Amino acid sequence: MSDWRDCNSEMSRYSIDDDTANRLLSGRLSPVDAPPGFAGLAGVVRSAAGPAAPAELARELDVVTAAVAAVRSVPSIRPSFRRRTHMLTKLLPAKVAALAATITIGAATAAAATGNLPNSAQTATSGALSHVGISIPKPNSHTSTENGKASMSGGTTANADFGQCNGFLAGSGSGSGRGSGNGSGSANKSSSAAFNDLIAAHGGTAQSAGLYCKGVLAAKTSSHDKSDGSANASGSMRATGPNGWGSGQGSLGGNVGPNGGSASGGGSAHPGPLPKPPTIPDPPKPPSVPNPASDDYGACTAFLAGQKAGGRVPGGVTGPSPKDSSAAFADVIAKHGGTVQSTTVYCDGVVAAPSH
Amino acid sequence: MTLGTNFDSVLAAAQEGAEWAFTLLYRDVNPRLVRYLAAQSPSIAEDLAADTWLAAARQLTAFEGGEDDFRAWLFTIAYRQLVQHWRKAARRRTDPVSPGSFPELAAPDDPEAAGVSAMSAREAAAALAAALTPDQAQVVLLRVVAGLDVDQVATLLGKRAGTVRVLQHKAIRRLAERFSLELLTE
Repeated sequence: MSDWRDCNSEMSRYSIDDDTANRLLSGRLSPVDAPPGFAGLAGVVRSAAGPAAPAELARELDVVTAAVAAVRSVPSIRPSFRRRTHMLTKLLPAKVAALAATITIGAATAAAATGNLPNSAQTATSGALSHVGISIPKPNSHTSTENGKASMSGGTTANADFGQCNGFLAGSGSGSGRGSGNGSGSANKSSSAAFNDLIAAHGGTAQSAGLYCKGVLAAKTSSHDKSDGSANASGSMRATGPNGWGSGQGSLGGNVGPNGGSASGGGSAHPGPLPKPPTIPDPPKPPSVPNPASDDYGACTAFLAGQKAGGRVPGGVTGPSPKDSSAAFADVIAKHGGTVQSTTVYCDGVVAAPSH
Repeated sequence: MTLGTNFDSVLAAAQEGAEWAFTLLYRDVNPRLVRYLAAQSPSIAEDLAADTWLAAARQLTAFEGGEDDFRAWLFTIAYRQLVQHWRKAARRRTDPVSPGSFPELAAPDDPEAAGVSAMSAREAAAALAAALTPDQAQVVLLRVVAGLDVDQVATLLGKRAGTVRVLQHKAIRRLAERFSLELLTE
């Protein structure tokens, strides 16, 4: 029988510090270097951490085969993919914000281009955009020029006309409104005011403006048909080119006319090569307008050239003079109002359309 | 026991389902895995090890970390397999042992088990566990056989690092007494 002194002596004999304990248990303490009383344990620890015995790998083939099959059966969610998804999630709000900003800027510019902003805003926008080479009308200034060609550079006028014509035709063509219109009554009133400039620029009557717009839309629709069905995903969706402005204009036209509410062009105004967010609906197609033969462009070009050249068509071929054009272009004239004047307005629209 | 600088590429290949990579991981870790399991449940150590690898394979694509992390992760799965086995065995109130494993079982008071020279790795691990309480055995086996540090063992067992150190010191005293060559020669 031992008293407490013997017990303490025994305890202290087999007590070691943390560092020695760690070296002992990790196998870094050899029996030779071990403190007195620990050599046997150091030997056992080293044995327990010894090299593999063949029996310990006896089931290698079965286990590895089954484990590899299990790895391959798991849906492939790699860490790198998760990181990309995470990044995408983080960037998505920024992309949406950029998209909204682009739409806003496009719509504002569209409104400015058509002179529909309040006077103070119109003046400010006109001044600002003049620094980047875009001419925007100031308040109360007349934007129309000869043959309906506005003063915006880079083809933006034609696209602006497309957007405005979209709204104009939708408003005048179906009084009850199309799609999810914002109420046909007020829309008709506002459209008559909003399209005054358009009407004034193209013949002075709603009928003549309608003819002009049909020409614009016919040419544009013809261009869509040629684009292999992927027009919505084509370069016209970029905000960097002239067509980016056109997308904004489409939005304006939709908002003014009964076709409003359809954010035409809004989803297509992507800032650069960002992928399309899944929540943005596809932009609706323009109102269905009878699509005349794409040859209208050729016929109209010849017709207008004849009108301007007084009987001479580019290329040296004798064309109709203003007087006898009714005979040479009887078909074209008959299709578009029955008069030389109405056909001229229509052909102006065809030639001015953005696809050309 | 380490793949060293090759570990990252081996792991990436194994996550893609490359058999050669999985074989390297298996050869690197399985001997110690079987030893760890056999020291506590010798009759089904091989089965538990295989189950551990299969469970790990199903989650392998989600694993991220270095070689030490991988070993700790694998032994965590093995520990859970072991605990699950013990719970089932407790419900059955039996723990079938194959007669073939009897020679591997060292009696706590077997003088031959204390002989260091003739001890295999598996026998040595079993001898360490046999001399300790279950908690102490778990700590010592994870430190000696699995090669984990105190913090990793604490995380694996759900204990504080201080508690693991206390258990380890008590275990060392007990084992030192048990395997003291001086005592054997007395």
